[in-house]
Amino acid sequence: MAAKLFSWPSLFSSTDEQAMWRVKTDDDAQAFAQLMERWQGPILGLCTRMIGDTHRGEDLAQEVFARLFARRKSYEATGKFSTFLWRVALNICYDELRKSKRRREFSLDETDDGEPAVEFEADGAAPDQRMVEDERADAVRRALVELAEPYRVVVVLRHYEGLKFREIADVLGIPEGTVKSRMSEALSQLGHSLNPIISENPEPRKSTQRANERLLI
Amino acid sequence: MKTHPNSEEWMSFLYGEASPEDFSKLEVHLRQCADCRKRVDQWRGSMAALDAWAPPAAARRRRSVVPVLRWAAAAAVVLGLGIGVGRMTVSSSARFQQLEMSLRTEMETKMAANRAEFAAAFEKQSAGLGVTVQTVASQAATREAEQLLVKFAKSFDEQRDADRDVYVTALRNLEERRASEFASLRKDLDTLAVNADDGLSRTQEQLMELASMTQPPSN
Repeated sequence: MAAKLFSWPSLFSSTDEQAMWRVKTDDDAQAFAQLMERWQGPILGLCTRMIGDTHRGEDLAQEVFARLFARRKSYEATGKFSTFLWRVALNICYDELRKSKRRREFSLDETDDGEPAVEFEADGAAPDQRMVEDERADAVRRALVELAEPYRVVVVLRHYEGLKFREIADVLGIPEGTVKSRMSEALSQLGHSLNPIISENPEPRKSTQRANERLLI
Repeated sequence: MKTHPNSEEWMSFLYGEASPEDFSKLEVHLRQCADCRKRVDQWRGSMAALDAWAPPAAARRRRSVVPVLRWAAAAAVVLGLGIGVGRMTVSSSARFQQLEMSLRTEMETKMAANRAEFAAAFEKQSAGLGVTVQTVASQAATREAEQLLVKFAKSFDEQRDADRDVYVTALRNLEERRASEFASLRKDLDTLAVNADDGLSRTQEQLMELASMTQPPSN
């Protein structure tokens, strides 16, 4: 009875690392559900923006958690859980991008036998229904997908997911300076592809404002 | 700063990661250098344009995940919608007071409910076992067996008292932990509120789906 009582604090949340450790050692479903609850949004955001397709992003986010569970034994307690998870998620995204690239090449070569390219194409031909109403959002989506992956991943992790440059360097296993220079190059390229939006954009610049707010604090 | 800052420095500047000293230096340079201002303005334009794409379900990342009570987090999420509306009209300090009050009420209610529920379950289980033992005792064929069972019932009662103490201690610990985590919980409320959109229900569905899919058969 006493032992049962002491397991009652499973009502408590724990850090990501503690939860993942319980998943690894005990296959703790509750701890896994807790991790999913915390990370579903960020992972969905990452997948959607890396792939450029909201629906496919949702499928991939599910795959990320399935793979996370499958790979639970390889989690090291010394590592940060978030770094582990971002890597799993990025690998899923890269797999998907490779697959969709192969499908595109196939459908170009074998137009008769290939699946309709528009159904699978991640970058441009099939604008997500939810985005149709917002041309600006769709233009950004297209511009991001056109960016080379090494640049896109930095933009997604820094600008949208809010990781620090240092954290991104850890996730990608590259120097922090490289992350920053890729970010600047990505912003420069986006400046060209998004020029129509930027020039018609008189509204306040949120990101810039955020940076400037530091001065006021 | 005679030489132009490099693009890496500007990235730290634009994303708020530069140290306060570097930030000031870069800002001074920016005011004085038209070339750099042009570059930085272009980057800022791209940053602003990127904000135009916000997939609805992509909730903002919770920057600091502190351990909180699950039900308290749930309560906060439920309150989140109201808070979201409230923040438009009520001043920040008033909002926090209001928030604190409603959250405290919610937490105390839930804690009381948990306590009552747990105590009831405990009593029920204890009573059930006691009855079983007595029934067996009355049916015992020999006096000796009955005495043994009575002894067992007595030790069971003692054990129950001990368990009750453990239970009370556990509850006390829970309440102490609740108080200490209350403060950090408040800090995260804004973030939680952002997550209380209609994507929550779908997230929950997916969560349950995957949890059930991955849950190993109970032993």
